[in-house]
Amino acid sequence: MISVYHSLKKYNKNKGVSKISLLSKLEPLLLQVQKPAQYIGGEIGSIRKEPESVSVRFAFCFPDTYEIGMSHLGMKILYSLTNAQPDYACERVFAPDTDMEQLMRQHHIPLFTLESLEPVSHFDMIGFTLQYEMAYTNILNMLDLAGIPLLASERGDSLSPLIFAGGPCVCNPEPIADFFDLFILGEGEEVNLELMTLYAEMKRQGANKQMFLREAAKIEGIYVPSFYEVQYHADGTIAAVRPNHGAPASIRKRIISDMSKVYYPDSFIVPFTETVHDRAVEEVLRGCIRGCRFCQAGFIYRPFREKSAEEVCRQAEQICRQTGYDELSLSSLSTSDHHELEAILTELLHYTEERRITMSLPSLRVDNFSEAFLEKIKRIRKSGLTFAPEAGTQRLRNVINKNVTEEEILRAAEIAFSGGYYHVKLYFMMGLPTETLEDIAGIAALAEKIIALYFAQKNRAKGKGVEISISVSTFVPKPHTPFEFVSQATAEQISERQKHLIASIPKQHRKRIKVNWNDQKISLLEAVLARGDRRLSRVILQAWQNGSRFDSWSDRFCWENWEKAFVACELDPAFYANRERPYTELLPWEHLDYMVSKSFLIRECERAKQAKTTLNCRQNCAGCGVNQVVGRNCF
Amino acid sequence: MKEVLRFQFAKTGRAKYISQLDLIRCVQRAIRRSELPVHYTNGFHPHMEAVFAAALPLGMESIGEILEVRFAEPIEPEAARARLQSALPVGLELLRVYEPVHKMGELAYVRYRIVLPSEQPELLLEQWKQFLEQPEILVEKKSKRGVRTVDLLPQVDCQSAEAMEQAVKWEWCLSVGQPESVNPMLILTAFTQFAGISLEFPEICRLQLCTKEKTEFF
Repeated sequence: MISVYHSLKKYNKNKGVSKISLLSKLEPLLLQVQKPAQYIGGEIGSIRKEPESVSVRFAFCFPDTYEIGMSHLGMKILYSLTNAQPDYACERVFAPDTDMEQLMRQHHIPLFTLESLEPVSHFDMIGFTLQYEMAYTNILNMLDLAGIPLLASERGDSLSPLIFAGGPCVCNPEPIADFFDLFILGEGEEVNLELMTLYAEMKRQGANKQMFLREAAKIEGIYVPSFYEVQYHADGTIAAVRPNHGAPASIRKRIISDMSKVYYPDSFIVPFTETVHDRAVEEVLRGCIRGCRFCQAGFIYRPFREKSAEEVCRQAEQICRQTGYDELSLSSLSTSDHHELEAILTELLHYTEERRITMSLPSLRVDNFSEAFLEKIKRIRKSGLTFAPEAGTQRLRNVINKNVTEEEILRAAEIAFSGGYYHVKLYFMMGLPTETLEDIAGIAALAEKIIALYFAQKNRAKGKGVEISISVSTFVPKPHTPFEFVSQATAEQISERQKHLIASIPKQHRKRIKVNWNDQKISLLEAVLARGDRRLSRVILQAWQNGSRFDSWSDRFCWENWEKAFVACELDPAFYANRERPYTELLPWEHLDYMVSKSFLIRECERAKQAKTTLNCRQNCAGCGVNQVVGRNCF
Repeated sequence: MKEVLRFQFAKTGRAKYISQLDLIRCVQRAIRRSELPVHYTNGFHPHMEAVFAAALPLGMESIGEILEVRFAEPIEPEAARARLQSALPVGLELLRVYEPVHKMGELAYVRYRIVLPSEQPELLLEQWKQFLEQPEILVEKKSKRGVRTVDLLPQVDCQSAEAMEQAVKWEWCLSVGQPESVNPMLILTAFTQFAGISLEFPEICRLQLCTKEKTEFF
């Protein structure tokens, strides 16, 4: 009856992995930290290559914890892409959590990669992905844990390790310019490999870092900050950015021209520990047609490009098959804008329902939220619904070009309620340009209307009370958007408006409407870092030295560390955050070409001030300039 | 060809840091990847019937874990084992497959191998003898119902103890499940306290799941 397939003796002799020295130092510590599985790798889908078998080794660093980094699609794509090349290896690195960091420092364990458990400093290329500004101190902490000098100027001239970064924050990398050898602008699928090819070639030739950087600067999309000299006016604004070493005056971001042909992984790493987005993800499109004026992603990822329905379905099914996930997400900035979405859903639901896979669609827009559509989603999943009106009145929604009407929001809520939903989450921003107290009261008024709508519903969920969560974040003006010129509301203005919002909610609804907002100082710092210049590198360095890390985690954020750093560096946060910038001012990121012209951004900023909306790209080309660069119309 | 199969598996190396909750998810995903015709429960939230005989504490290795899976149709055991194995991550190895013999409730003991690093293994072994010669070994045990004091002495079935180079190796057979579960760490903590040494990263490996009679549980 019992059949023995393997000799048990083998296991008695072979006590796990023994060849890696770091592992033996690590093991006694792992049971002392939270979620040790995040530090040990070995997941299905992870790839380890022998160091001798490849010419370039790339340590891909995500400057936050494993559970956040492993949720990030861009990293999955570039990890697989690099490892698909026989001559290159890519390994993952995440920021150790505070408990682990302490033990690593105590036991002199350097920052290591998850695949080989090898020190990051052994790698040729060390690349960071910059998803949000508040992770900047984590970068310094990781470099320090790796034993690598923080300032590029102090790292000597040997080719390795090359420290670089990519990701959305690279659209203004000036505040962290001093720490990096180079930045990659735009989408990485092509340029990353071009950079690695150059690296491999110059490594063979025995080139030094300067020689390499000069050649790298010739690749479109590569920005070598040390090749640009920044001069300032006496008032602190920028006078000039002068290229040297033959570097181009302007660096243009890279884009993938055909989304249906670009590389997409046929396998994902499946984590052991639960991550923030622990599911199969299929990217359905890039860019966004909407042109919401506050939204950086809506501008820096232009042009709008769809993946064909056929490819979406094929890739999604492949990822489900390979990972064994029971949830599939169709991801993009605005998934419902895919013109073949109905067809995609029909085909994919066929596949997923048979296999008990639930499907989720993030970032649905309320204006194309039909009953038939909700019916499709309802078949799989019932939880809360989230809408993002962003502003409380139509006038202010017009200012930010969030082309959603109150009618549409209410209609969507009605459909949702009749479908059995009873919890609605609303996202708003506060401190938007031209905002008044009337706009703030409008937030409460909208919530009230939704509640009234709920009680008017005959088909509402029985025995449940309606719940409205209002989440209000402080608006942060971002580079490469029409609001790159405007000032952020001050802490005093915001707290006045917050009080007004609370006062605007009628007493009888206070239990049904829950309001929460984010830390005021975090928004201020985000505004400073987003639109800052190179002088901020010193501030970031000092804040880190003062003990700052994980600044995006409100429980770990410490404004005092930053305040001290600003004082010591004689820089004023208000200069960056709360100052209206004239259109004529040379902005710190103006030499970085994201294909959207400054004249378009100015035009949009002016229309915003007049509360005039702009049609979406599919309806009418607004002339942002992308089509000029790409050489074809988007639609 | 049977619908319910038990897989005896090893969890070693890096895999020992996978917590029990993570392991459940990991195995369920592996089953999905393997595309084996697994049985799902009826009801509003159907779930696959894949259960473990006994939870393995984080950080311990094992060569005697048991996973029981119910399939939707009769299946050839070795084919199922091979297919599931190919979907599992490194460190999880299906050693045998068989039809269930004992009921899950008949699981009563676990045999462990413990290796404790020591500069003076002979001395430690001597202290171990003295440790067991005590009239009682009282330890505090935390549970959901609060802290209670338990006498460990009747619980310690030490089947072998030997001095090795730079370490002492034991085999213990300890109760698991109802009414009392004894974690080897509890004994090690009490012993190292008794011996006046610090508890250095011990290697603990489950060798076998056993019945009330301390014979192998299948």
